[in-house]
Amino acid sequence: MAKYANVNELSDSQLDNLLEPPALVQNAETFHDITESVCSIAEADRMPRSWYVLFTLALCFLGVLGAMIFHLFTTGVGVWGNNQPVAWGFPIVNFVFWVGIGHAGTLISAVLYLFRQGWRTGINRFSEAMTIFAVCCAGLFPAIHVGRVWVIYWVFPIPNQMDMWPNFRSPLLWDVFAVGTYFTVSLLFWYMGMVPDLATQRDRAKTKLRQFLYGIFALGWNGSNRHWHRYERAYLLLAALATPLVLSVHSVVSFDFAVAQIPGWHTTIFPPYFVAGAIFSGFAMVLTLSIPARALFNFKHIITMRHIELMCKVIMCTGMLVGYAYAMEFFMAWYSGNRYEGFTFVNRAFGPYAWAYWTMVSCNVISPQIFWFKRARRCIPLIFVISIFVNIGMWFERFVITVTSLNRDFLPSSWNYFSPTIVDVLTLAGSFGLFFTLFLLFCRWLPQVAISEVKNVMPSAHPHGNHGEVNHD
Amino acid sequence: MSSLNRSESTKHYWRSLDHLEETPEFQEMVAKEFPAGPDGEWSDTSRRRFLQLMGASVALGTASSCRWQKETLMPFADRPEGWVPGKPRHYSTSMEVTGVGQALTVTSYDGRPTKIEGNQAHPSSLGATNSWAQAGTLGLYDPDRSRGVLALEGDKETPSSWKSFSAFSKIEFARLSATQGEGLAIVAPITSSPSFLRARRQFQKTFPKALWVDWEACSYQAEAIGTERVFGKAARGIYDLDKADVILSLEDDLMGTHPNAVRHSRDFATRRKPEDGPMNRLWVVEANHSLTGALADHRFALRSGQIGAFLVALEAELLKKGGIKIPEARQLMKNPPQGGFLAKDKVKALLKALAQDLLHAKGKSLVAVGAHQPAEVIARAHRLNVLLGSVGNTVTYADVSRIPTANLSASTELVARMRQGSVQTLITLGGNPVYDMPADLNFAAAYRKVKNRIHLGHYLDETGVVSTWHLPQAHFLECWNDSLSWNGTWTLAQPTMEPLWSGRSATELLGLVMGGETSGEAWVRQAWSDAGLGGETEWRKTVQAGFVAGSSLETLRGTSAPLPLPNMELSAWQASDSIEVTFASDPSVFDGRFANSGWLQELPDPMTKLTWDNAALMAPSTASALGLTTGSMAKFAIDDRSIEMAVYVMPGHAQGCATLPMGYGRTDAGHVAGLVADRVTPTGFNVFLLRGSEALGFSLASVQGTGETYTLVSTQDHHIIDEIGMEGRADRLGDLVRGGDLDEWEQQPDFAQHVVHHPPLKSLWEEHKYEGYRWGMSIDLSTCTGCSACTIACQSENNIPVVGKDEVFRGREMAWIRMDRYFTGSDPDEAEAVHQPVSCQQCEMAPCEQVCPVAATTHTSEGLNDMVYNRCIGTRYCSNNCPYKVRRFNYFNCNLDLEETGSEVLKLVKNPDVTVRSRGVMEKCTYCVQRIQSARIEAHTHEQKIQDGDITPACAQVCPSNAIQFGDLNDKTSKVRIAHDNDRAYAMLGELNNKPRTAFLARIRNPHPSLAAHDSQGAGEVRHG
Amino acid sequence: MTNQTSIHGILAEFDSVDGILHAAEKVKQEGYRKWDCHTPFPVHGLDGAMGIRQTRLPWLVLVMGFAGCSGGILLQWWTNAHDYVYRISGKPDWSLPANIPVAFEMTILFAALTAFFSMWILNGFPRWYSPLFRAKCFTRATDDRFVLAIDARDDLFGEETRKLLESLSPSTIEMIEAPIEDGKIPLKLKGILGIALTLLLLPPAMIANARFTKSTQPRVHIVPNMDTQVTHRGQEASDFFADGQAMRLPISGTYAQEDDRLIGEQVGFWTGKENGAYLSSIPMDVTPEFEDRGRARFGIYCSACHAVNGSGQGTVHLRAQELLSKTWVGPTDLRTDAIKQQAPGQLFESISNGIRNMPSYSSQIPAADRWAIVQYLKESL
Repeated sequence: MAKYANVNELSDSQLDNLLEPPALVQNAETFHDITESVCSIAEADRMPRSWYVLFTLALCFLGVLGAMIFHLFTTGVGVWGNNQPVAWGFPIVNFVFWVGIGHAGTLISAVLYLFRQGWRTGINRFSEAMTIFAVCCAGLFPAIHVGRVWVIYWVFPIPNQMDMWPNFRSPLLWDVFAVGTYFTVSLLFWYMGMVPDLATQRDRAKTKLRQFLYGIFALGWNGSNRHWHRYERAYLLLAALATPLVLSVHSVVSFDFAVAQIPGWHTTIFPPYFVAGAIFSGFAMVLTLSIPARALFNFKHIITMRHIELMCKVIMCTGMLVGYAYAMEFFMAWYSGNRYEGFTFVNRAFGPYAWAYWTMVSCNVISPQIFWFKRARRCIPLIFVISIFVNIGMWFERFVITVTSLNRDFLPSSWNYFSPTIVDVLTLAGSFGLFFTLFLLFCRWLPQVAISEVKNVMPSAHPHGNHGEVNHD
Repeated sequence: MSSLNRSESTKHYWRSLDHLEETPEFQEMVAKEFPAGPDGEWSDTSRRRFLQLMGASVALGTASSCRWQKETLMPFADRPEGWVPGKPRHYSTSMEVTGVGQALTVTSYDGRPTKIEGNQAHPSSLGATNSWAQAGTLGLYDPDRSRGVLALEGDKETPSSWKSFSAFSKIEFARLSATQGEGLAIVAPITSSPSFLRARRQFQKTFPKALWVDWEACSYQAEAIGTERVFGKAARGIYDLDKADVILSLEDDLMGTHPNAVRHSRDFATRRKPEDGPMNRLWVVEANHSLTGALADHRFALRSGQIGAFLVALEAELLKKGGIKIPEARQLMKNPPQGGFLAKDKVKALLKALAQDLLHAKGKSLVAVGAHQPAEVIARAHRLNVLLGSVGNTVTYADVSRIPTANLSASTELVARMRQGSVQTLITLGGNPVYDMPADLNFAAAYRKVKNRIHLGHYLDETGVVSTWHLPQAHFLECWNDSLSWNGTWTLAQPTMEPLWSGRSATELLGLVMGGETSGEAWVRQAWSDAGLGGETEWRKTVQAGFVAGSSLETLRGTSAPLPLPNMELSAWQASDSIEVTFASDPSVFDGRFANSGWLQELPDPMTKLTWDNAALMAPSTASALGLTTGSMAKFAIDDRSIEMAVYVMPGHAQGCATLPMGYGRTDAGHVAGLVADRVTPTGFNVFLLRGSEALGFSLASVQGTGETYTLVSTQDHHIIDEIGMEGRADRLGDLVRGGDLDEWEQQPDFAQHVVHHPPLKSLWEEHKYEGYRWGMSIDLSTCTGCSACTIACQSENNIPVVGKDEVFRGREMAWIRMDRYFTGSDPDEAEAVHQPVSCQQCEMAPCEQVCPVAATTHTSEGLNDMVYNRCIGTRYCSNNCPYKVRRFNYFNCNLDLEETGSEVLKLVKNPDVTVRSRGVMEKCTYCVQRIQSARIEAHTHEQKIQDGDITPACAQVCPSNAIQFGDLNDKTSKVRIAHDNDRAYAMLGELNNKPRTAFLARIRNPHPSLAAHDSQGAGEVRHG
Repeated sequence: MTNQTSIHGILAEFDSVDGILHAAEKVKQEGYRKWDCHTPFPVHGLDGAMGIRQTRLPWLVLVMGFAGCSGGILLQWWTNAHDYVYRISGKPDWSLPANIPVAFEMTILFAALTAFFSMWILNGFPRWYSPLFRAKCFTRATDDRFVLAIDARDDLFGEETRKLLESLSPSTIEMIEAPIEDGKIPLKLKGILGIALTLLLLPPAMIANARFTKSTQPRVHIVPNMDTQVTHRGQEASDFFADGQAMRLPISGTYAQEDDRLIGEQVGFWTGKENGAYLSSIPMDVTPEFEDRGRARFGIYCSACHAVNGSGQGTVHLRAQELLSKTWVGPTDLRTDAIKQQAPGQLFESISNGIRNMPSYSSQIPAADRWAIVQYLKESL
């Protein structure tokens, strides 16, 4: 780094920046300030007007989702654009998209926790919540996309009137277990982290009702250190378990495609490629959510520029990983010498779905490159826009993988073009409605920041006497 | 909305969604001559709305009745001897189309016909049929069939009865017989039925002055006239294609729409397997790219009007070679036809080779000519058979002077009389003259001048609605009848069911109006006993067998008398707005009589793959010269008649002309093909509005693009395929459809197995052994004609629903066995076509199975890839993972039409041995597992193994050319085993190591050595679509 | 408060990490056992200061993780390779690779659930009430204060405890007083819980009831599964045909290919008569097999009434007599001369068309078998 060339040229502030990274929590002296700034939101009688606007909007979309699902159940999956040969259309695309979103949460919570990345504390609650809600949306689609939704429970290994068991060779069944486990573990992780904060809110609660409700969910937490001891150990274990899990989930999702023999699907690169993509899109979504949130509930001192910058770096890095995967797919298609593989990829880039392909590439590979520049990594509006781009791009990635591979497979006689119906589009929009409804409710009633953990990384949380050693991130 | 709307009209089908739609756009759509395509606003929304509300109603229905439904048994109080409930019985009967009988065997399930097969023993069938016969059951149970006698007055329909009609006819015909039938006229369809002709003679005795008009759109007088010149009598060429070494077809669709196509295909096939002795060689000269053309070893695309000239040029070539002697040789040699298209070197070479080929195979050659050609051409073509000594060897000519053909002069006469008002009573015995008479006669207008217009018909069709009496006609499965098959075999038809709607046959009606015998059985029986063929026992045996063995027509020997020259049209086509149009019968709906059959409407045209529409077929170059492309509307005009019609660019079509398939644009066919009164827009375009009496075969027309476009829906190339797609297709075609020329095969018989190079196919685990039965199939691409009868047979056998134009447009057709068609060759105008039937390949390592989360599709111990419908939850993953894309998904409840009031009768068409699939279920070819099971039961009761040939899937059973074999691969002697061991056998996409049980046999062609070998299949896919 | 209270313990509140650490060390040195620190976040070093022993949680998780893994594999083996085996893509019934993902997920799931729940259980949660909550200053223990609480039940608890705490210079010291019967669940809550539980029991009770009672209705069948078909199988009713029968009689004068009846010369074979006269002999060649078949058919179709020995004392007859049925006409004794003298043709006709109250058997017994029975009657009976 050229910067270090001549240190004495640097101003003091720059020096500080270099030697000692800016504190994770800024302009908040006492623990109480943290408690105050987080809990006050849930305790406030009114939310900012924008919250109400957004919530109404979200509810409308949720309504649309409901209507679409009713329409679907009463009519049949034909209301979508799916056809022969593109038997999987929007629903599966949306499923993979949402599962991907759902990855950043656990990743931030678990992996960063294991790596003792203190900066995670500002955003982990957020992203965990996001994970839960994203996985809710994801879980919705495989359930409704089947032809006979009323017997969907046959995919679970429970005795049914057919007196048969599911087929464990099918990647779809692996999905059931992977996504199910992932949802459960994420939920436990999220809730467990929230219990001490719920206790805080319980103790601050003014009204009986709040005391009762928060009290119920706080399970009677009283901050006993003997409890803390087991708590921290359990938390560590969950983190340790969640880390391989988060990697496995999207690998398994990628098996849906990789195990099939359709050209463009049948490739071993999928698991890492999908995981990278998932982290990529997950972080993008975290940014998309936290940027407005920190402004709305002024968490600027908790979710600091540093957090955002770090996330930008992660996005740039994973974006390049994804780009590498795209390139590698092409290389392998050519290198394998397989006629059908080769055609599929040429067809992707220059065939009828070229528009989708290039949207994907420009959003996922090109746009994050801007984060090479520090100025870009600190320009909130730009970051916000890029994060949206990445979300769009990642949705299109799934679209490209699913549809362009199917629409022209082995026999030219069955080639056909897939075009979505309005129901497809509205269902997708509706899933966002579901997501944001849940998320806004979370913002309203629950601690959006892990209070106890943030306190934990504050300088004053560390004894200055001879007791224990100072832990720095 | 809906339930109200729906209760309003009596019948609703998946097709009648239109009339639920009340939007103003729809109204004008009806008003407009041409409906918008599926992408048009209205039909799109209406379709969805229709399905939505139907879906809702069904959902509620299932919710309300959450208990097993109670069923009541209705046994026979006194069961007939030998009758086992649920055990199908088989009846021999026949179906007549344009005077040619097709021998059939009808499967009757508890006394209800459910499936139609060919009559194994009958020479013209040998167990096979064409698509029309297959669709017969749907025709029988069509809810649109007229359900009783109607007395019509203007727009008023009053339900009447046979009783009141016979009351009327007694008086009316008593009056007429007093005047010897003055002012009485009959329009009769073409028939060879001895019993009917007997009734007719009797009728003409009673009413000598009555004017009798034989009319059918696809019957040509020219053929009779032409053959008469050579044979002295109207003659019919009965070809033995298996005996012919060289076959020249002058626009005669021998294996396609020819009345005897079924037998032709069988005979032709016997000479197309290189391992079974010498192959024949087929030369085809034609305008349209027909199935026969697709089979040809050498095909020359030529305007219909130039065929005559080509023939004369061929004669000249033969004379030059001194092969034949004809009286007018001198002047023909003096100025042989030259210039024009004959000037081309390619054509010269072709003629040379062809002539040489014909002479080389003298006595073993055969020339066939299309019936729609002018008399001179027909005469010359058949004379050529005489000259080449083919008569008696490869072709026998039979005297058909007793069998009427369409009589144009009589029709003209009739119309004239009607105009004068000198016709008081006109009986239409089953035809539809208002729809299919030449447009210039303007039959409809004159018809209204007749006082008593009596119409016998299956439907209240275009003629029916403007008649005063409409009488329901008995379906061929409902009445006694007889007819002569192409080779003259006297074929009987026995009813397999009581008339559903009190219908009667034409013979019975004649009997009624004559006040004579009204029992069809009696008429047939009488004709039979007149022939003195024996007593009661013989009669019963004949009825059971379905035909009089050995009966035939009198054979004729021709002369080589001089013949007038045909019109010598040689000029090549110059891009102008006037082109030649050929009126062709449609492979799906023929002349429109089969139009209201959903199966046939949805059956993709073998060559264009179009469903639900007809279109003007044009060569790519012609189309582009006229600024037209597939889907653009063009205005065709002859004199003052004109129609607007969508264009389809047909690779390999002759330049400077267009082929217009007839039979569409029905305004009063029914809820399937079009019923404007009930707001069901007609399918396709009515070509009869353009066809004039001056030229029924072909004539010059002016054509102009209107600038409008129309959505043609096909099951292949759904959308315009881009450059990349075409390259990809061309690149892999040779691997999928393998084939080569005869010499290639002689050098390396197993060349087909070395087309794709792949690593040795090893398995990671020990594979299942299939002891016992190991079912497999083989499809010989060398003999498959692409006729698509298998698709309909499968649809009928396996209860495959019809989904409608919009769903086909979305790519959701349901056919279990589809006929893939690819065009090959570098030049679109010279393109060749290959066909490949594709159904489930029953892979031993089926990719579909491992991905199903609920094990709804698994393998049986005999290696069948079973689809368990009621286990399926519809993830559609299996379909994604199927490399052949043969799996079909019920995106909606496709059998909603059965729930409709008034269409309960449709339930009877379903095969009780096959589950009717519900919404959200995947389905696919099962190798007709129900037939395997019944054969197994049969074998078990006789305590023996299933023998080869005991099981025949519907597709194999119907296949006219025997291209499909099915059986036990473990049985070393079984046909299918032998086929699999054939050198030509290959597994499509076998390199994927999914071990398909269906093997394809490579397509071998036999080009003339002297002609440059044309591109073999797959080398360069034609840019089209 | 009215009811008397008791001392639960004493707590000291500190406002810094250092304070609590220092205090904890002291209290530990004093040898207190029943005491605890309550902090808004886990304070590093406090465990050491309090001398808390490592929890055995990880071992539980490890064990359950293994359990999950083996459970997953067992599940898959049982369901796919043992209980209900089917052939999938020609793959072996049991192959591990395909089962790894699920086994892995099960491992994680079990381990995670264990970590989560056993943590709460070891901590004795949920326990919504603690006397500490009575203390005024305790509310801030979850905010920004650090509280050290010594339980009254500790042996060393007494006056000097307070002194000790005071010596640690806390910001506050407070005695924890709480009513004695405190922490008991109020009656109202108990009631609600009771009702909830009984309501929960209702559905299973109803199901059990339905399971063991008979109903006139057809059984409930929510998922249709294409079980009821629109097609008509044998002997079904049809709403289409006027007579309500889906089966249609063959049309007179038509002959199916299977239908060999009355085709061919041997009218006698079918009717038992040849030009008016009964056949005097069996129109088939009589072989031992033929006779055996006759005996067998007789046993199947005739013996029910006519008895195996033809005496006419068949079970049906006996039953009829039991019921003293008025209309019953006893079956003929087939051994009588009247029968013996009948021509085979006549016997055949009787079997075919029935006689008196014996119904026609032509639809049940093929003609050949009827002749076999006749043969049996004639010769063996």
